[in-house]
Amino acid sequence: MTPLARDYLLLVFISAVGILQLAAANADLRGLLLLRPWPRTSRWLGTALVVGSFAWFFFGGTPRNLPDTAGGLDGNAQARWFVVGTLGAAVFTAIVTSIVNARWGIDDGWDPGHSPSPPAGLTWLRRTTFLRAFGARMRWLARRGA
Amino acid sequence: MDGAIVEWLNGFVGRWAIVDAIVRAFVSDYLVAVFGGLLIVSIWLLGRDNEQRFHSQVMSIVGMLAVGLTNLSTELVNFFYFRPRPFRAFDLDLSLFYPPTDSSFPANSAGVAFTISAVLFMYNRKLGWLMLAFAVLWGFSRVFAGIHYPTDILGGAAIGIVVAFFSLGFVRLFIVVPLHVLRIARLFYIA
Repeated sequence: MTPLARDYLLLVFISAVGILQLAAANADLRGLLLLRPWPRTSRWLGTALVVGSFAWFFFGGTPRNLPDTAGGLDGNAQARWFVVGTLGAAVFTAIVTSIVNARWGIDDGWDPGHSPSPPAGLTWLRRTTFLRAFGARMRWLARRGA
Repeated sequence: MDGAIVEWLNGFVGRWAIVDAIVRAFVSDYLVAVFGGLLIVSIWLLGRDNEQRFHSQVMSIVGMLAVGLTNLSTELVNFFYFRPRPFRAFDLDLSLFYPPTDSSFPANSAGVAFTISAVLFMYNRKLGWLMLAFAVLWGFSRVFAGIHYPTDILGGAAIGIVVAFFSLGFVRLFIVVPLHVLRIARLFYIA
C-alpha cells in the first residue's frame, strides 16, 4: 500500500464515520450515536470529523495530485479503497456505538409475548443498539430453526 | 473558443496563492468524488420510518449504479474517440495538476460529479444543490488547471445526467430486486 493509498483510506474512513454520525443524528437513530444523549453535539462531531479529515488530507501540505504511475490512485484503486473505508466505518460505528451505549436500550419496546419476531429495520435502532438488535434477531432465528 | 477559454483561465495560475491552494484541492481526483460518494452513502440512513427509509435506500442504490454506469459510458466513448489534452495544444501552466495521458473528452470527473448531483436532486433539492456546487467547482478547476476544455466538462456532465435518469428508470423497472434485498437487509438491521 502506497502512502497516498493509506492516507486516502484514512480520509474515507474518518469522514464516513463523521457522515454516519450526521445521518444517524438527523434520522434520530440514537443507537448509532457515539454521543447518544446529545444528538445536537453528535451533529457537530460528525461535521468536525468530515471537515477535519478533508482539511488534513487536502491542506496538510503533502502533495496529493500524483499520477497513478507515481504513487497516485487509479479509478479502480479509488473505488476499492472507498468501499473498504466506508464498510469499515459502518462496522466500526455499529460495534463501538453498541459498546458505549451498552447500558442503554434494554427497554427496547419489543414485547415477545405480543410479537414473536423482533421489529425489523433500522428504525428499531432508535430504541436499542445494533448488537442488541442483531442478537435478538439471531436468537429468534435459532429458536425458529430448533 | 474552447481553447481560448482554457488559455485565458490558465493565465491566472500562480497569481494568488489562496486561489491556487483551493483549485489544487478541488482539481484533485479525490475531493469531489469522496464527498459525493459520502453523500450517496449517508442517505441510506435517512427517513422518519422504514417506509421513508426504503425510498432513501433505493435512491442510494440508484446513485451507486449511476456512478458505475457513468464510468463505463465515458470509458466506452474514450474507446472510440480520443481528444488530446489542452496542454498538448497550448503552452499552459501545469503547476496545479499532473499531465494526464488519457483522452480529454468526455471528462470522467464531471460525469461522476454531475450524475451524483442529478440523483441527489431527484431525492432532495438541498443535497442536489450542494453537490451541484461541488460538481461545478470541480469542472471549473479542471479547466483552470489546463487539463480539460470546457466542452469536455459539458460532455461529461451531459453523460452523467442522462445516466442518472437511466439508472433511476432501470431500478424502477426491476424494483422487485432491491425490494427483496432490502427486505432481507432489514432483518439484520443493515437497512
